[in-house]
Amino acid sequence: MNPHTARCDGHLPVAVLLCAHLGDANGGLDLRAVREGLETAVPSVHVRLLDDACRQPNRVGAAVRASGAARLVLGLCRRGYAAAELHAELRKAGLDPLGVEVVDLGAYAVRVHSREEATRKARVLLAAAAARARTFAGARPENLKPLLPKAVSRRALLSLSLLEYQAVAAVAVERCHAEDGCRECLGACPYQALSLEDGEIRLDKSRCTSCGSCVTACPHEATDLPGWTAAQVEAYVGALLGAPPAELAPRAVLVVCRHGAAALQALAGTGASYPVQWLPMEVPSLGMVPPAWLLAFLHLGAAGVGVVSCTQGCGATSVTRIEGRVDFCRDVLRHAGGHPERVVLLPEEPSALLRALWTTAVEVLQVPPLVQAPPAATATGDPFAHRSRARVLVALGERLGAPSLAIDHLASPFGLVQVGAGCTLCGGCAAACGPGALRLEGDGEAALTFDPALCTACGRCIAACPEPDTLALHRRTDLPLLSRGREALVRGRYGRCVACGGPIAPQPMLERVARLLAGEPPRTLQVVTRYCSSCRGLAQ
Amino acid sequence: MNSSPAAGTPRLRSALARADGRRKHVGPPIPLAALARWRGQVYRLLGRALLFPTPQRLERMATAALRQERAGEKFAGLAIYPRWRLLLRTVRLAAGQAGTLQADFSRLFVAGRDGCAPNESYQLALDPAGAAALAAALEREYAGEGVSLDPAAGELPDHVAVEMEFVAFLCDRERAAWRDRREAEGRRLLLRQRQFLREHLGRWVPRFAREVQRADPSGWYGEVVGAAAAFVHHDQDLVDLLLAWTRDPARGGGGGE
Repeated sequence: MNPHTARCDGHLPVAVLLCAHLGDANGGLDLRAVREGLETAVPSVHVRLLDDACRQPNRVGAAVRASGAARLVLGLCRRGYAAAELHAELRKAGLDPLGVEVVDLGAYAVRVHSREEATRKARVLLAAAAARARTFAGARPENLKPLLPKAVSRRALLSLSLLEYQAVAAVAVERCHAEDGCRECLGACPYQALSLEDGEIRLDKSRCTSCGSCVTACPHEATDLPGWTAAQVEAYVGALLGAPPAELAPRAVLVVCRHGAAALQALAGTGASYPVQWLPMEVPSLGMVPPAWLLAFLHLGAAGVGVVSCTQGCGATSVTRIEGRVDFCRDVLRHAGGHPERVVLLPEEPSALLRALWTTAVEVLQVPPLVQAPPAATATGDPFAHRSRARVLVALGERLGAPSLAIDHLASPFGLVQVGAGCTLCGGCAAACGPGALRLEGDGEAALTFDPALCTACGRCIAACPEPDTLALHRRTDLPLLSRGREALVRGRYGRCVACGGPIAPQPMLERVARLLAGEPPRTLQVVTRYCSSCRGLAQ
Repeated sequence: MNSSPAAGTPRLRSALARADGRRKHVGPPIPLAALARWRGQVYRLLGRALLFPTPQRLERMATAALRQERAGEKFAGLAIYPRWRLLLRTVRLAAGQAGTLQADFSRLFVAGRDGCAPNESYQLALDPAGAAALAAALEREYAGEGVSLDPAAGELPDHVAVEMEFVAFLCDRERAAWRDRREAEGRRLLLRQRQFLREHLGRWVPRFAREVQRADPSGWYGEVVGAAAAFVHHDQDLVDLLLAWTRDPARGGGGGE
């Protein structure tokens, strides 16, 4: 049996390698407690200490080979490890480097908390990383962007140095609905890295920064970024909020992009400390975090969610976008009778961030979490999947005792389409609706149906409608409508061909055509409105 | 002798620190000639795996796979490495399976009823005139590099094996160029490969792979064609990177486009 595919008790074996320097004196981790706690609490996890793991990638490779693990978590004391060499060693050991989780325990635990607190936090962070590593389903070459080696020397003439690869988003053609007019990812990408060629979405890897905006914007979950599938996020957050030890509760999620992570590192460098309950979750960019995720954290048991602001990346609109999303979440909580301060935008400047982490902790961590026990997995299956965003909001509304919540907000992730009297059931809006919220369906009777849970308020339906002032789009989150699902907005009988009895077009459209052709000879009008396209030739 | 980095003169300490920094970011380099040779071997292996599987051909492929495997872990720095190792194992497993593979080959590629014909014109759904124009263009491309399709081979110029053999040929010449330190020629050949991969293999092999994997999800051809698509994709990125790398004047690369 291949040791890399062997499973223990139904769980994929995960090796957790900890840099032994983490246990150094002067406030380091109690590595024994970390190991024992983790191995007891998380099945099929084997923790091993590795001397100087941050500097010796070959030791990591050898340790992985010896462990026979299928997945790996590295707990390091610093970030500046030799990634290219480490990745090569991991490939030799049969692991995909993109599935390896690296936790900066130096910045997130050792240097900002007391030994006891840091040890507890390290266990939680490592358990979360192990859960995410376990759900890694592999990456494709499309997900890889090779980077030019940074260091060069004359000795390297006519040779290529070891490469580093960056994970980038890739579109699964078989799930993509670009052919049906969906363009959500194109609109979401702040770098114009995506384009439509030959009916397929193509990624220009040289422009992609792996921000992940396209991943969470895709209504069909056709775009993936290794590490950030809905299943991986769910596994990570579930363990972050649910992993022992219980005494770390209540917990709050601290969402940071790479710039926010740098701010936290800077804080760690100053020797400052902040409440241990803040559990960092590094995301590729804030632009990829939809409001449904922020609310899902609360739904899964977080007492609060802090988003460390970022003014440095992801295009000019990122700050406005994330501010709007946070404000939307606060609005939902306000209207539902929850505490709006549970979701906060924190400054990125280190000293201001430190102050905010303390003051917000007082506001957030003193009140009990909205959800005392995380809901059963089936209640909101895949809470971080695009298709589940309405389900998360509805479930949260019910838990807050506000099932009839309806709010209008510019950052509402849902839209609400309303149809006026002028609709002819031509289906132009449905054809333009990439997410599939609007559909023209029906056999005996034409029906324009709408599912608000799928609507992203992109507005393409409005642009496609040929009838002025007929369609209206509101950025509204309406929980009763979201829970009802798909409903017909307009219905109309089909006009039938007088020759063969087949359908010609919906009756409202024929009436509209009749009005347009009012000045034409009656015979023309008759042919067009009474015969189907197949029989029209015979009629003339 | 004290080997501690803290010991020695300031100059030595500085040199050791620099060396440490280099070790941190730069692993053992792969000579460009070796890389070109390896890439050519992989293309050749993939192309031959998609020709009719006679027992002799399968035997030769297994031998070639074994030889490539012995090349060791030199290419573990490339992300395609695990998939390549899997491909070698898959190819070696095929020796002695000619009967089964011939049946699969006929079902998938000869009957072509599953949309799996291994030809560019078929996968791009070209009409007869378009297919003829493509064949003529490909023959011109081959002739431009001084090669032509052997009529005895019995394959069309747009067959996957023929196109892959052409890239393998370019890789062989690129290898010779790097070995002889003819950098401008090495870059020219990389540019030709980039163009050919973009205009041909890169355009249709992913679609071809999807079709074969749909028709033969757990079979030998599904694996081989999946590996081919993965390799072509990775190689497009790699060739782009090599062009950027060899253009960098800081490392003495030369040759304008």
